[in-house]
Amino acid sequence: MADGTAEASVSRLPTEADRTSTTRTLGDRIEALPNALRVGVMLFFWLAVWYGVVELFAVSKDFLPNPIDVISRIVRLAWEPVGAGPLLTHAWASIVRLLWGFGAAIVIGVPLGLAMAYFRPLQWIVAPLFELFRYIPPIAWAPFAMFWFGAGSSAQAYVIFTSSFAPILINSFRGVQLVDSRLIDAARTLGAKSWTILFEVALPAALPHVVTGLRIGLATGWMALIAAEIVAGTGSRDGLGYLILQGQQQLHADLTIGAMVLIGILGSLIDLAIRAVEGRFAYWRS
Amino acid sequence: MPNNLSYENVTMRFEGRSGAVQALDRFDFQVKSSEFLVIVGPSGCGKSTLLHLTAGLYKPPTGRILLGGEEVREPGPDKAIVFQNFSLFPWKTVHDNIDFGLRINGVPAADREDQIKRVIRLIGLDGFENHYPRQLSGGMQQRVAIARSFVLKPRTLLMDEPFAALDAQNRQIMQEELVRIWQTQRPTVMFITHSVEEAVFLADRVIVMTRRPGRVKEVIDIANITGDHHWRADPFDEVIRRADFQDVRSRIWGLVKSEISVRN
Repeated sequence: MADGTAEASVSRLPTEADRTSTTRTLGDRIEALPNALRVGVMLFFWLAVWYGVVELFAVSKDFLPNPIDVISRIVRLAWEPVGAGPLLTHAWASIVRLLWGFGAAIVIGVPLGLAMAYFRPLQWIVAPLFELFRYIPPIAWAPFAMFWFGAGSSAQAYVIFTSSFAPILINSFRGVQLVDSRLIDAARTLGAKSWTILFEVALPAALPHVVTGLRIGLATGWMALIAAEIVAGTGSRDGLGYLILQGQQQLHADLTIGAMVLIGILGSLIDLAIRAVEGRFAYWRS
Repeated sequence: MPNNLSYENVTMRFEGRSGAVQALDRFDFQVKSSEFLVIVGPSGCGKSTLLHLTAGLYKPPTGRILLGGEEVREPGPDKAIVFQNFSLFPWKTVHDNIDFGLRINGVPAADREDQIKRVIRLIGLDGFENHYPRQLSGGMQQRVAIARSFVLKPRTLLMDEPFAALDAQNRQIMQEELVRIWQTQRPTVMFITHSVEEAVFLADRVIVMTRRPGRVKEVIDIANITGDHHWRADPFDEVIRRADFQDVRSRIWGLVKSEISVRN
């Protein structure tokens, strides 16, 4: 019955009758759900599939624990310490590293990107160096960072810096480059001199691009962080990457998978937060 | 202060990909103070270049442009320009767009509010002060752009196909509005258009330019034809039905067409 309806609407253009039709397929019902609820339902569906596969084939816990094991491991992690402390200690350690590396990338990348677009000679000076460095993957910096900073938070923050820096710089640079030259002409004919044009025209016009650069930089920084925590192993025995490694070394697959899930959740929360901020900076766009 | 514009042998060339392009060739002309001058001509004849040079955005390699006897050297609020695409600051409200020029030119805050209120009333946008440009129609945006220039009391108002992006109805309304707004201060206007009707309706004099490199082909003195009662004093849709208006229109269109069709 449901299949027949779907086929009919594929073979001809939808009519008014289709739209007002009272026959609703399961697909229609899921589509009609609020976004968050739909995501929740589908996540539950996949967890059920995972559980079913593990139980059906009686997979060993060391090979693939079922989702209930993983979730209960995450819950236990809230108070049961691994290494330096429980869950919050590790999440906090990772976020602090991220903020250091990301913060340094903002402080250097944004002004440099803006200045490169505004003062052409600077572009000639910096661009070749930048073109060379941008193809070195962030994780390739990790061993080098350990020469400089030793294994630990500083080395990891440095790796994050190398991955956040490029998108932040490029987007800031492009933001100023893409400013409509008519707006600058208009400002000049209204009597604006170069500093006024920089602060009142070029910067506001570039701001949405800058914020986009920050969003990409934060996402790539988060990826690099976990890699850095695994490669540039820490003496402080903390961070979400450390949890993954611990799970592997102690043959606790539930801990490794649990940490991975946490990384995914935290990463998407960070992205949600920065998207909200991004919207506020682009209020004047359509 | 006289606001006449003198063009003395103005030449302009650009370095293009396919060699140098000569945009203007010894452009020589006198615009009277408070005159409404409209320029028509084929695409690419250097009309816009002429306006940008007059605004001081570029400097001509040879020749001079003088405003009230003084050479134009840099852009400034006395030489306001209104672009076809409005060029409002999209992140500023109507109020702040208009305020921008006043503020950066050091007008005291108390005076600014007063002047903004007055010019917003002049363009008929009371109640839209806190709207952003994207919330306004094309016609409303162009009113704001005109107000933003006009509030600075420019000596010359340079308009680069200001109504080309508007639909026919809005265009007509804006033509009549512009006349009304212009009458309140009477700056010298240089107005570029592709619409011969618009030119004949608005202008004291119309310049027809040759194809590139642009020179003056012919000057038509509309004010001399109409006498004291200029066409622009009447509604546009009445005026265009008049035989004398249509005569002038087709004469000018003939001149423009000959420049387009002799191409290549």
